[in-house]
Order: sequence, then C-alpha cells, then structure tokens
Amino acid sequence: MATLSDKGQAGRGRSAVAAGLATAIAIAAILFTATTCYDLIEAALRAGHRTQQATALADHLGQAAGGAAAGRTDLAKAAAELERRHAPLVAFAFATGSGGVDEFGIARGAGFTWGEPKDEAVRIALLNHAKGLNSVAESSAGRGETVPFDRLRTELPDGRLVVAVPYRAKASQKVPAGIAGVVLKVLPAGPGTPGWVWLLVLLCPLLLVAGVRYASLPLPITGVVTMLLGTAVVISAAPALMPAPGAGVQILSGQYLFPHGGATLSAAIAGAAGWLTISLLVLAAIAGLLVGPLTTLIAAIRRDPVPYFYVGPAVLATGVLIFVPFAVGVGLGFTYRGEEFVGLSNYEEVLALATGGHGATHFFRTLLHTVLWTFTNVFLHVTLGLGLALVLNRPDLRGRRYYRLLLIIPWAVPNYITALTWKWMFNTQYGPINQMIEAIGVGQIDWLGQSPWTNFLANLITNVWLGFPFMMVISLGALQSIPGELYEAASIDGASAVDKFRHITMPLLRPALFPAIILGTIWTFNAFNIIYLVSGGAPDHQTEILITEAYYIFTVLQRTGLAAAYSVIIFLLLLVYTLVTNRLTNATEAVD
Amino acid sequence: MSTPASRKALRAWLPHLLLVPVAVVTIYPVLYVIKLAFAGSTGVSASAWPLPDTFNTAAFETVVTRTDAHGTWLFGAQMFNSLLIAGLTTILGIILACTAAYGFARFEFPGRRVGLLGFLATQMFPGILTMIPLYVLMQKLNLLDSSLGLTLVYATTSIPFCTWMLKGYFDTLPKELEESAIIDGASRFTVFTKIILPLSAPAIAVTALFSFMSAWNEFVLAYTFLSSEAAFTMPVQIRNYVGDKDVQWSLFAASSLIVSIPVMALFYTLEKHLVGGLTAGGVKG
Repeated sequence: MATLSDKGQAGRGRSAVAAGLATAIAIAAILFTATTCYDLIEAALRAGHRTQQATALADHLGQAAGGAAAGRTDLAKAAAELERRHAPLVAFAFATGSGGVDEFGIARGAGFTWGEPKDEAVRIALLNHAKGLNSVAESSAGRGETVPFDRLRTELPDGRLVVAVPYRAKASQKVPAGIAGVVLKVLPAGPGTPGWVWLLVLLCPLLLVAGVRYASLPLPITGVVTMLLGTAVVISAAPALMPAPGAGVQILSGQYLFPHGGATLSAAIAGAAGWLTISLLVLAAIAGLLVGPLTTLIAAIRRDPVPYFYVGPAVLATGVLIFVPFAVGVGLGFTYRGEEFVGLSNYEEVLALATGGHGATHFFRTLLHTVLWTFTNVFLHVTLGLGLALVLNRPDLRGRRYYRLLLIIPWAVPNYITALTWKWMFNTQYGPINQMIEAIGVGQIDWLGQSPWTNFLANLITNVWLGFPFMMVISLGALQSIPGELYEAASIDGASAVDKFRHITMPLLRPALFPAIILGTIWTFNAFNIIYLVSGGAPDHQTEILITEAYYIFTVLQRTGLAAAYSVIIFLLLLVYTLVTNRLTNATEAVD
Repeated sequence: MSTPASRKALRAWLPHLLLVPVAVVTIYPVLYVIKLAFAGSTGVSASAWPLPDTFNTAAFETVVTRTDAHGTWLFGAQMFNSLLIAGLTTILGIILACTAAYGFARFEFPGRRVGLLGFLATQMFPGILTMIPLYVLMQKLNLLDSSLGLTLVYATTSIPFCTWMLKGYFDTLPKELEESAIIDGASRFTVFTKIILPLSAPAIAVTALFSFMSAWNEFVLAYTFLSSEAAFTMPVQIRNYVGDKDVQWSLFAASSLIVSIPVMALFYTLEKHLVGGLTAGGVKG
C-alpha cells in the first residue's frame, strides 16, 4: 500500500491536471476519429457509388422492361422517370426494339424506339452492344435466368458507361424482344483522401489506447463519449448511406434477365484460367502442411491408441457436422448459389457495396452499425452489471438474496421469448410502453415503425434488459472473492473510496471481467434473435446487424454463395477481435 | 440530515433507492406476460398496469388443444418434438463429451492442443456459415423437416462447450486416485467408468442440464429447417403465434409461460454452477 499513498499525496494536484488534459485530448481524438471515419466511409461509398447506382439502374431498367413486355409500362415514360430518378448520372435513356429474328435465330435489335443518340459513333456502339447482349441473353436463357452484371454494362470509348437490360415479351420466349438501357455520364472523381488523414486515423485509436493505458484516463467517460457520438453519427447518417428506395430486384417471373454480382477483377483472373493453377497450388500447400502432422498423428495412434479412443468419437462428430460444413461454407462463398464457380466475385460484391441493388444494405454501414450495437450494449451491460454488483456487495444490504434472485430473471428467460415480449412492450397501439407514455401526456410513438432511432432503441433496451444479469453475476462473484483486509489496510493508509475502487477493486475484478466481456461481445455481435425478432432490421434494413443481414441474403434473396462469403467475413472479424483482445488482456491463459 | 444517525439511515436506504427501480423494470415485462396469458382470447385492456385483472384460461386452452387439418394434436406433437430433440441431444452430447473431456484431461498426446483449440474455435463460427451447408446436406438426406436432423446438429454443436466444461472439472480431480487404481490392476476404462464418472456426477448433471436447456431454447436452426407444423419445436410455434400474418399475443404469452417455466426452474437450480463453468470452462483454459 506504500505506493498507493505515495501517489496519493505527492502527485494528486499534478495528476488531476494531467488527467484533465489527457481527457480533453482523448475526447478531441475521439471526435476527430469519429468524424474522419465517417468521411472515409462516405468516400468509400462514393467510390462504390457508380457500381452501386448502375446496379440499381439495371434493376429499374429491368422493371421497366418487364413492365413494357407485359404491356403495363410505357417505355418512353419509364425513360423519363429513370432520367429524373438518377438525375446527375444519366446522360440519356434508350430502348431498342427487336428488328425481327435473323437466320440464326438471333434478335437483330435494329432500331431505337426512343432515345436515339445524336452521335453516330455512340449509336453504332450501342447497337453493337445491344446485339451482343441479345446473344448473351439468349445463351443465358438456355442455361438459367441470369446474366452477369458486367456483361450488361459496356464502356464507350470516351469513358461513358452503358447499362442495358434485355427484355422478353413472354416468359417462355427465348429471344429477347429488345433492350432497355441508359448511358451514364462521366462524373469527375472526387478529391482523394490526403495521406495525413489516414495517418491520423490510424494514430488516433493508438493515442486513445495509450491514453487509457499510461495516463490512466477514465475509460467510462471516453467510452460514453465514443458511444454517443458514434451512434449519433451512424443513425443520423443512415438515410444518406442507404440505397435509393425501391432499388431492390423485382424478379418478374423471368420476363427480364436480372443482373447478379459485379465481377471485374475476379472475372479477369478466372478468365485467364489462373484459377486452376491457384487451386492446385492451394491444395498442394494444404497437403504439404498436412503431411507432417498427419504422419505424426498416425505414428502416435500406432504407438498408443488409447487417448484417441477417448477423444476420437467427439472429434469425428464435430468434424463431420461442424468443421466439414464450415469448410463447405467457405467453399460455397466462391460460387453463385453453389452452381457456378465465380471466384472472388461474392467478396467483391459484399465489399464493393454492390449489394444495395439486391435489397441488402451496404456492408460497411451494417458493419458500423453492428460495432456500435455491440459496443453500446456491452458498455451498458458492464456499467449496469458492475454498478448493481457493487451495490449488492455492500455487507449491510438487507434482502440481498431476494434482489439477486429477482435481478437474474432476464438471464433465465429463453431469449427468443424475451425478444418477442419486448416486441409486445413496444407495440404501438396496445404496448405498455406507449400506454405509459400516453399517461404522461406524450403522444404515441411508433417504436418499430419508420424511424431507425426508435428501432435501434427498442433493440437496445431489449438486449440491455437481457444481458446485464450476466455481467452482474460475474462481477458479484469476483467482488466477493476480494479479501476485506485489503480495503481495511487501504483505509488506514488514508485512501478514499475512489482510490480503493481504482487501485483494489478494478485490478482484482479484471481477471474475471475480461473473459466475460469478450464472451459478451461475441454474443452481442451475433445477437440474431434480438434483432430478427424485435426490429427485424426495420426500417429498410437500417437496424440490421451482420448476422441477420447474412440470414436475409441466405433465406430471402437465396444467394447461398453471397451469404456464405458474408459469413466468412463475419467469422474473420470475430477471429481478429478475439486474437487481439486475447493478446491485449491475456484473458485466456495458455491451453496447457 | 446532518446528524450521524440520520446520515446512517440514509446510507442504509440509498442502495434500495437504486435497486428497487431496477428490480421493477426487471420484473415488469414478466408480469405483463402473465397478465397477457390470463387475459383470455380477447386480449388485454389498454393499460400499463402489469398485474392481471382477470384469470381467464381461454388462451391456455386454445394453445393446448390446437389440432391441424388432419386432426393431429399439435401441442402434443410439438411438445414431444421439443422434449425428444432436447433429450436425445443431451444424451448423445454428454456421452461423447465425457469421453473426450477425459481424454483431453488425462492424456498427453500429439494433436491434443490442436483438438482443444479447435473445439474452442467452433464457439466462434457464426451459426449461419455452417447452417447453409447443413441445410443443403439435410435436404439431400431428407432430414430437413425432421427431429433427427436437428438432434444431430444440436448434439454436435453442444459437444465442444460440454467438453471444455467437463475437462475443467476432470482437471480438478486428483490423479493419485486413478494411479493407485491402475497399480491395483484396474484398466483405464474401468477407472473412467467406476471412479471418474461417479465422482463427477454433479458436474455431468450440470453440463447435461445446460445442454438440455440450450437445445430446448434453440430458435434459428429450428425456424429455418422445419417447415411443417407437426414437426415444429415449441420455439418455432411460439414465434408463429406472433408471425407476420396472424398476431395473437395472448396465445404467445400462454405458450411462453408453459415453455419457459420449466427451464427457468432449471436455470435457478443450475445458476451457481453455470457461472463458474462459463468463465472457467468456456473461456479460460
């Protein structure tokens, strides 16, 4: 306790100033990081914007073409609508009608029905593209219903982009009746992000960590600020980051051929037959890596089979039903619906933010929301849980047993029931929460309606209710194992309550709390039941987390490969998180 | 307020000022579900007061007596599915986990570290990543809409966690016990079945009950894999009471009570052991 009192007397004034300064710097750093991160994400979104918008356009075009083929839509009106909707991007919209079928059974796509370009070179390029598209469409129609997105677009010599969708009059018709398309303007590239910004972005979290670690900044304050700020930024920016409403694909019973995944880089690599070589190399590398361990293993089993007799059945079972599916899942990530090998195009589609066109949300927006969701939850779980544990641990507290029994109820209730119960609580018309609000005189709140804020809050409240008991019980257990003499000794040395908390309670709580936090983080990160059952990602996928988004891609869009790629990314994120936190906190001791 | 006595009284009351509101918030939704369940089929009156004003068991009757078009007693079938799946999962999982945990705890062999870390890693796999191929696999094996398929998946996913928990317990048993038995001529297997298993009965019971609870409460996989009403487990049925088409909150509340009261009772019996297991077995070596 000598060091404690030394520190207390000698440097109290100085350290208070230092701590204040450090806090100010840290808050500034957080502010800066948060805003810069947001800028960067927005810049990334802009870069992906063209692909994104082109996909959305292709979808709209497809809808228009499908409608026209079914006699519901006037193509010329649809063209005007397209130009209006995608205002600065579209140079003009065009459609070619079928000029009949030539001797090879290929539609000629001869004349423009609207939007004929003035420029002769462009006109010819468009007609050629249309012809090419017709044959693509025809051959795809034979195999399946899809045309790869990159084949729907072509670049004109001056850099303008053409997006076109073939359409058919009847679902059964093999040859498209014509092409609907748009020519996109060349947009000037935005200013790039200066190098020093990146440097600062990298440095700020480091500064923060260093501040907490060495200048012993109050973590709760910095935590609260980051949390509030980050949540505010993400939620308020949400509408701006969302794809235009109605960008989702409407598959009109095969009336038009809809695009899937933009594959540019991977298509090039795959086209070069490089994949065979690459996969052979990978297989060889895996085999090479496995040969050594496998021979040792076989030798070991020969020498002494007894341990393997015990461990074998469980390892085999998990191998067959967990590891093999895992590996197959990773493999599926390189395919289109498990049918066609598409290389990295699923990963490109996830990361290039092109999924917006398919009704799913930008990956990075969902990621950011997931991180904030996790952080906010775990932060509240720990503060609430620890706070309650500190109160419950007071020796003079009456009825401690009963409080404890009562407060762990949320942990005992099956979590899907919790989620549905809170969905009821937030019910607009009958839900008790709105009844209370109305009793105070505020009007009804449509909690699970159109506002991302209230949806987020509903999810958050549900999950905080659900999760605080775990942290409370863990903290309480750890607190009870701290010997009381430590506090008595500190009191004799003149330590204040705050000093005692910082120098005795916190250090001794840490070994129990850190593994619980890591576990809680992983649980919250993957809190499928809560998000799926409370807000369901509403409105318009804005409160979706990664895992529910992947589930949506799997079950609703039925894009098996894309969903697999998405989950691989989730897995890698969690893996990195666990490894890093493990390294930082030494939460998991060595296995043996 | 300034006299020492009143200050002391205040200090004694202060914790309750914090604890009582938290306790109220904690208990409120639970009470409301009870109120909802006993409100009958018409639903509750619009009020924020959480205590039941009537004791109408109509919702319970509807839930328990439901049949489908073929006359199958749905509640019975679904309850049976849930019990069967959770029961089989527990038995299968525990047998495999016990042997594996003993192997990992008592032997030093090549591959031990990799095996243990591999088991730990499975806890990090996002469920959906294995769900996709399993869905395809179960579809091919015609096990998609069946209890057997789910049981296999649940049992294997519970093995790693159970193994870690049991290994943690086996590690605490003194090795001398076994060594003396072996010197007396007992085989390893006899030692395992006659000494270790009986000694670990409490830990095995806790682990078994835990894996029963997780299978009983599992929602996503069941919701994705099962499609016919008679094959549903209770969680899927509960969710469907308040599904997209047809929302019946009173039926939800009544069936929730039926399903969660037994597991909540289990939870309260197990809770002390669970905490130790989670932190010591689940995350720590």
